[in-house]
This record gives sequence, C-alpha cells and structure tokens, in this order.
Amino acid sequence: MLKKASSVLAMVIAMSASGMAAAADEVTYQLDWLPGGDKAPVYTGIQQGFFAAEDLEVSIASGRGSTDAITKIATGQADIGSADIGALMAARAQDTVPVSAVYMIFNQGPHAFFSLSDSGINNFADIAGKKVATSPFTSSNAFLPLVLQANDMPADAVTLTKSDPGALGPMLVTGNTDAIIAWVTNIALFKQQAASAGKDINVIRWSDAGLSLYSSAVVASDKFLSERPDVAKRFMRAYDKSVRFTHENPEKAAADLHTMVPEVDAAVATAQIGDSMPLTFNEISEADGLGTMTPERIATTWKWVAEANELSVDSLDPETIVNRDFMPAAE
Amino acid sequence: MSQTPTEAAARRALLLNLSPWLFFVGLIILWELVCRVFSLPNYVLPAPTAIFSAFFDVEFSRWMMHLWATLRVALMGFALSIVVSIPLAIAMMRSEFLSRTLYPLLVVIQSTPVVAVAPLIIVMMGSDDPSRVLITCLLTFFPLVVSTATGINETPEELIELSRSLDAPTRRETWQIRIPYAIPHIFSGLKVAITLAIIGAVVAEFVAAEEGLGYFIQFSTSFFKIPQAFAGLFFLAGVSLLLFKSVQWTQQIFFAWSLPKKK
Amino acid sequence: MEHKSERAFVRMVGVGHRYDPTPGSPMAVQNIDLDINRHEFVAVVGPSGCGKSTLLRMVSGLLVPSEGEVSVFGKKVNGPRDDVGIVFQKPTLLPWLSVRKNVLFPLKHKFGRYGAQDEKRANELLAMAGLEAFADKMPDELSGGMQQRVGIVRALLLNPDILLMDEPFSALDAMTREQIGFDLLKIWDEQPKTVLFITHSISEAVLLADRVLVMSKRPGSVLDLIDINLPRPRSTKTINDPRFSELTDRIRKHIYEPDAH
Repeated sequence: MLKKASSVLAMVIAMSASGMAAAADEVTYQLDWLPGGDKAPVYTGIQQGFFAAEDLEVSIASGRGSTDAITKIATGQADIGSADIGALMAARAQDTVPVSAVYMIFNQGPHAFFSLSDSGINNFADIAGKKVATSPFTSSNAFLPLVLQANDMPADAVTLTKSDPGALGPMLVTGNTDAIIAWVTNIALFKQQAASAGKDINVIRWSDAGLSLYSSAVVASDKFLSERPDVAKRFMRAYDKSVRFTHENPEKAAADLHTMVPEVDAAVATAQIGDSMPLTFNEISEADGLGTMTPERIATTWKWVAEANELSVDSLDPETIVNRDFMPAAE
Repeated sequence: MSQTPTEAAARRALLLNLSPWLFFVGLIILWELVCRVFSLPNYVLPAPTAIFSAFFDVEFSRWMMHLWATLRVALMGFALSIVVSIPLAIAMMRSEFLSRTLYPLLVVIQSTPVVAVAPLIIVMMGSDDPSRVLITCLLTFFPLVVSTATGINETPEELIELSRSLDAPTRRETWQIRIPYAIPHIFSGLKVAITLAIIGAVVAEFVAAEEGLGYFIQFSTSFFKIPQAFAGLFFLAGVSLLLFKSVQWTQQIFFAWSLPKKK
Repeated sequence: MEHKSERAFVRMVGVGHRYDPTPGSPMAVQNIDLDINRHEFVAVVGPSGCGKSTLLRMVSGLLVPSEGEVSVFGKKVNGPRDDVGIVFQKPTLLPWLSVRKNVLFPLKHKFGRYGAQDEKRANELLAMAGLEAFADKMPDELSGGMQQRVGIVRALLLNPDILLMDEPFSALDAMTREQIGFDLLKIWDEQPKTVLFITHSISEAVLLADRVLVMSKRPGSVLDLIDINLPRPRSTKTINDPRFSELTDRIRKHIYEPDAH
C-alpha cells in the first residue's frame, strides 16, 4: 500500500518536473524606482521577445530606491534587478547581503547641477556661494562635498536646502534657488517644465568635474546565480541585447514601455532614453566593452562611496561584490 | 415678505442641504480664478480645468484598474480589522488580564508610524496584497478596538443587573446587551476606520505596488504630471467620501435606532 | 404590629453590608430586621446614600449581605433569583427593540427564545398598562412616563412574586409621576405582588404603600416602620385625608430632625 502510494507520488513528481521543463523559466526583475525611460531595456526585451527567445518569462516589479531593490532581491522577492552599485557596496561593507553586481548599466554617475541658462552658472566653478536645492534622500547628497573638494572648493561652498523631489523644478524655474541637484536621466522632464515658463536649462555633470564612478548596475541574488546559473546566463544575454536594441531604437523601446505601462508617455520615455543612454554608451564602454566592470573603476567607485558614506576603505574588498561569470560574450 | 413659516423652513432646509455643494463649487471657481489671474504654471498649482482635462486624458479602464487595486486592499484591510478588533475588544472587556496585557501593546502599535513599519512588512511578507492588507489593518484596527471597548463599557449598569438577576448566560449578556449597546460607538469607529483604510492602502502603495491610486499619484508626480496627480488625488478623495457615506448609509438603513435623535 | 406573622414572605434578620470586605470598614447598612408579608407594598424612604438600594439588591440576590440573612419564603437568598422583577430609576429599555420585544426581553435573554403564548401575555400586560397602541413603536417614540410603564410591564413578564422598584418615578415630572403611581396601584391590584418600593418622595411613599420603612443616614438602619392605615383604593382624595398629612409629618420629622425623638 505504502509502496504503491510512493510510486504514485514519484510519478506525480516526475510529471510535474517534466511539465516545468516544458514551461519557460520565470524570472522576476526588480526595478530600483518606478517605470521610466531609463528602465526601458527590460520592457523592450519582453516586447521584442528577446527573453522569450531565451525561453524566459520575465515579470517586472517596481521599487522605491536602490536600498529597497537590493533588500527585495536579497530576501528573494525578486531574482535580479537594477540598483546603484554604490548602494550595494555600502550595504555589503556593513552587512552580509547575498547580492552581487553582474552587469554595468550606467558606467558614469548621473549626478548633476541644473541651473537656468540665464543664471550665469555655466560650469562647475560658478556654483561656489550659490543656493542649491536637493531632495532629502538622493545618493547625490553624499557625493556633493567630495566633488566640491575635488574642485578645490570647501565642502560647504554652497548653501544647501532640502525639498521634495517634485518641488525642485518649480523652485528652479521660479528663482527660489540658483541651482538644483538632479540626475541627467531627467533632463528632458526638467527642460519641459522650464520651457513652459519660457526658460532653458544648463546641465553641469559631476562626471565632467572629476566624479568618476560606476552607478546603476544589474544586481542579482547569489541564490539565483548559484541555483539557476543557466537561467541567469540566458537572462543576461537577452538583457544585453535589449540594452543595445534600446540604444539603436529609442522610439520603439519607448513604445514598448508605453504598451506595458500606459501611464508612461512614449514621447517622454523617448526623451528619457536619450538622456540616459550616454551613461551606458560612451568612451568608457567603447574602451572596456558594454556592461563591463573593470577592477580599476570598481576600486575607484568604492573609494568615492566609502568616503561619501564615511566608511573605512578597508571595510570592503570591492571585487567581492562583483560576479563577472554572467557577462554575455562580446559579439 | 408673505412667506408662510413652512415655506421658509423648507427653503432653509434646502439651503442647508445644498450649502456643502455650493461651498465646494465656489471654492473651485475661486481656485480657477486664482490660477488664471496670477497665471500660475501647472507645476505650482494646476487649475481645476487642467485637472479636469488630465482626468479624461487617462483611459477609463486604467482608472478602474487603479481604483480596484486600492479599493480591494482598503476593503480587505477594513474587513480584517473589523474581524480582529471587535472580538479583541470583547475579550479585553471580559478579562482584565487581557486588557492589562494588551492595551500597552496596542498603544505602542498605534503610535508607531505605519509609514516606518510598512517597508519592513513588505520585506517580511512580500510585495503582494497580503502585506498591503496588513498595513491597512494596522492603521485601522486601533480606533475600532477603542470605540468598541468604550461602547461596551458604557452599557448601563442597570441592564447588566437585569441580566444578572435573570441569571442569563454571559454569552447572551454580551450578544443581547453589550454589543448592541456598543453599536453607535462601533459605527463612529467604523467611520474613522474606513477613511484610514484608504490612507493605509495608499501608504502601502507608496512602498510597494504596481497599480492603485496611490501608486498612480506617485507615478504622476515622478513624471512631473502635477495636474494628473491632482486628478488622482481628487478621485481618491471622492472614493474615500463615498466609502464614508456607505458606512453612514449602512447605519441609517440597518441601525437607525443607533443614530442621535433629531430635534 | 399585626403584620408580623410567622410566615413572613420576605424576612431580613440582622442584615448588614459593607462594600469593602475588610473587617472594621464602614457599613453601608446595618442591623436591619424586617418582615414583609405576601403581596404587601412596602416603601422605603431615607436620606441620600442611606443604603436603600443596597437593601433592594440584597433582596434580589444581586448582593449577598456580609452580616445577617435574607430569606424569601423560608429559603435563604444567596444568589440572583429569577422570581423578582426589577424596575430601575431610568426605564433602561433596549433602544434597538420595539416596545413588545422589550417586554419580552427577559424571556429572550434568559432562555434564548419565547413562544406565541408569551407574546399574548406581553400584549395583555401592555393592554393593562394602556400601552397596546404602542406595542410596535420604538422606545424613543414614547414619552418618559410611557417608557417607565414599559419598564414595569417588562418586570411583570415572568410573573415574579416580588417586585423591586428602585426610585422608579424619580426621573418623571410631578404630574406624570402622580398618575403613574395610581396606575401602578391599579396593576398591583390586578396582579398582586410583594412590592419593595424605594423613593425619595415622602408623600409618594405614604400615598402608595401599606407600610413605610424610614431609614437613618449612612450607615442605614431602621428608624421607624410606619403602618399606613389609609383606605384603599387610594386616589387624589387620599391626599386630603387628615391622616395623610399626619403620616407624612411623622416621616418628615425623622428625616429632618433625626435626633428629635
């Protein structure tokens, strides 16, 4: 009787296992913020069938910041996703977080000063002594004193006020502040806002002022990488393809995003893609290869991150957070 | 002025019924005027007409999808908190031990900002409906426990004596006297709880969600679509008002005796 | 004292009570000896806080005296007993039940159900109290006096031997109060009960009762037990009887000049 039952059980298991093999592998991709043009590749990958071609079924979860995304990936609510590599480094330096970086999306930091074109603030040196508004929780705040010092200014060279992210644009346009700190991925949105008041915006990138670091990366849970390495490899192959596709077809990628998230305007998404692609495709990617994380730049990034978060540089060997086994082979 | 007193009274009653609407419409007109006269840009304060047209720019089916997501969580959280609070209040009334043990804990839970706890709940329970329902429930159950307990304790002593003199089982004392007596208080609690349920659902959506009116508002703000965010906000306020009214109607239809007497 | 019979219906012997059980703590009432006959109407008057309600609760069994003994028809009272009907100062009707259902509430509450016979009895009792037209109304549609009458009818439902009334008319206005007093006597006449009636009103006590128990201020004890030998049926004319003012004066002296005798 027992034998019979166990053989039935074995059959059921065998059947369900074969059933699973036939279905596509499911992967949950965790965004570090709400959907937007800068997150277009994963959406276009789904719409263009790049993931399906690798026999993957990808679902996307929105996030509320890099720390949130890393936590959700670490706790297994998602397998893989995007997050700031600096946030991952800071987390790994203070705790054992089973998440590793596998692919570099933005090989430059997105941090920048935005000012009105007629404000006379045209390059980094002009910011000294000015009023600058920033949102309270952006990672840019920690880098501000460092980038000021790198440009021979004291850490308190600007008068900083903190304000809701949504209020920054209006503050700039109405002249409540001389400049704001924002990300280059949102240039189009801020320009649009300024244009409605008949103004234009200058963007002063911190990456041009010496802040040389990696930022947004594809990060994955170590469990996902060790238990389903083949799925992870296939995912990264399709993801890499999606990034390239987005670069070459921003309008199509934006349309794909709009299809999946109707609240995102295709035109706005196209502009956001235009703003964020230079962080992915640039002289660094030309030299090192798309998605690549070089040990030198990882080390430099960690130096900035450690200093910004007031951590000892020795508290982490930054190479340990990187896993290069899942880099798609260069085409 | 040859008005009969009844005519005057009828006019007064009509005015009293219309006054909230008139006030609201007046406020909207004033708002529109302020926006036009000072030509305020949308990102400072969108004009009602801009909000109105933003509302119709969003497809109806999307509105319904977001509405359903929020309503689902709010109502499930509300229902859960009724199921938890009322038995809890009864148990606490029955046992001094329970009430002494649990009250401090309830106060601690109530004074912990749900916004701070919400991310932890999401981390522990995942970012699906159950965690959002729990977040909603955390926000709504305290006023319900307090109002139910207050109502139960305000049962006239004479009726308890009547029950005891009849030597009736405690179960019937609870169901036939104490709980019905608590109904007016329970409804005050329900009215507070239903509006908190919407807030709870929105807080949960701010932390983790792919749909819902709170998510929609957050999303609109992140794209600087301020009129659209306002449209979402008004929609949410309308839903909240409707739910509040539904609780009131429920009381009027099924528990008319529990309403304060007019005159 | 021809009322002192061997077979007193309610008997209190050396009854005293303290709410704080510590020995030596103040007594609420003490040294009460009282016999009440079957179907006798006894009113209790005394200053506020003299323990009148305590006395009533000890007869109902809601309170067990810390000294002495209360017995009803020879059986010691040591817990709530269901052969008493209680009427409170406030009508304390259940606002979610109709008048008829309020009257039937003791049955519903004690046994969980009632039958057609019970409804018939409720209707009869309501008719007797002149409330048949209001049976399906909700309590808040009734005046205070009518509500209190419903309270009395409710207390009569289980046909108790003893009716305990704790200042039942004190929340009513003077005119209603007088009328409902006579109504009570009419009901009592039709459905004889042993009544213990607590009141603040000396004239009400004299007007209604067979005997009036006058209590001292706290700790309450018996100051006087007065036979009211006024003829029945009583009516507004009773008040004009010279003995009426004699009796009320006698009680008033106890209350206002407690040391005068």
